[in-house]
Amino acid sequence: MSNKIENQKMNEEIVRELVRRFKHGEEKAYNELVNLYKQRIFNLVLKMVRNREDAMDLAQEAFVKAYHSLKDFREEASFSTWLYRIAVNLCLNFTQRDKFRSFILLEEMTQPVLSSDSPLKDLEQKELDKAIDQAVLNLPGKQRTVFILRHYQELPHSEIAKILDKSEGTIKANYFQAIKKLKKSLAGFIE
Amino acid sequence: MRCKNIQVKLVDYYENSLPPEEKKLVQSHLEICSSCQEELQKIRSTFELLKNESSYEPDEAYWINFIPGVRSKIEKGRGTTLVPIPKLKIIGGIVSLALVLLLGIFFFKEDQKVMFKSSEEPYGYLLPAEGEKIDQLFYAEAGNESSASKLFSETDRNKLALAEIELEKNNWGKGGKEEALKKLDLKQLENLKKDLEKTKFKKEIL
Repeated sequence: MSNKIENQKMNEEIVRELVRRFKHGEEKAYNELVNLYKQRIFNLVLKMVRNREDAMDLAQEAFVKAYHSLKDFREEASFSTWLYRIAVNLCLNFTQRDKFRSFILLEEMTQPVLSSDSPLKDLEQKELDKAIDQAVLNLPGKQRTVFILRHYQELPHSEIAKILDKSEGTIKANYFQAIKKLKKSLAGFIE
Repeated sequence: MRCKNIQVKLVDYYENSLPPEEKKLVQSHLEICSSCQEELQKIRSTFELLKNESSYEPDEAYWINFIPGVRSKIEKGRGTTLVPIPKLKIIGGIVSLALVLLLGIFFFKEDQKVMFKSSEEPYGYLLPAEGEKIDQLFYAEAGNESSASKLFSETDRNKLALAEIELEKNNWGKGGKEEALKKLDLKQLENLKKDLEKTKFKKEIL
């Protein structure tokens, strides 16, 4: 986790420069920003919406939204914090708006697992993935966001607090509640 | 420290993100509390389970086309096209249908009111027979008494009753219809009959 934070800090200067260049009209600078963050944003979005096709579309959409707002970005927060905020809000709106559809798709969205020698194992994996998808999607929006930012994106509580504009205490409480609920939802898989 | 206070720290304890002093407190509690040990084990198992989740990586083509895709969306102004369109269409259809129905009901009622309740000339185009009540005319128009009641309020009905008296007085005079008819010669009666035919026709086309 610490390596990631260090890398992030090292990138911060480069990112600030790219933002500055974009604001001065250099369109190509935005492509570089996209390249730097596309993977992270895609992973975040995928874990938030739990559907590949939607995630592929929403990840691009996050950068489209960021593009339109970047000229007004006052750099009070870091670019990544700001970008994460855009992506998170986009996903929350999307899942809220499309909750019903998301749950229907859950039946179809179970990711195909690479076929192994053991079909039983494949089936178990498929069931586990489905259970996790369902458990995560069932979390209230804030708890789901905090859990994903913490567990998958490995961000510190302080950074999550900045992204969501909440106190660290609130973030910790949300995270604890999220784990508590996941523990309950996935109890059937725990021996 | 109570179990409740310890258990809220167990996730942080598992992630090794507690400050040293708190970590020591939790550790010493865990040594003597089997319930909290069990809780910690469940948390650990949950995280282990989450680690077993399948991962997904889009194919190379997606990443190659990522920036062109973003650029294309920027250019096309497709920034707000994520609302599921079929759902919008369905909602739009339902709303339109409801509007059409509401408007239909509204105009139908207005039309009925115009047909049956002209404020200036409530029934001037049709001379009532002696003793015939205005209400009855309207009942006949509306089809039955309850329909007429729905079309006219109590106030409207009172107004109509007053208008009826006024009309009786104007058309038939103090003596009423029979007295008035006696005073008419045959030609006048013929003319009156013709007028009535005309007004009936007028009523029908209205």
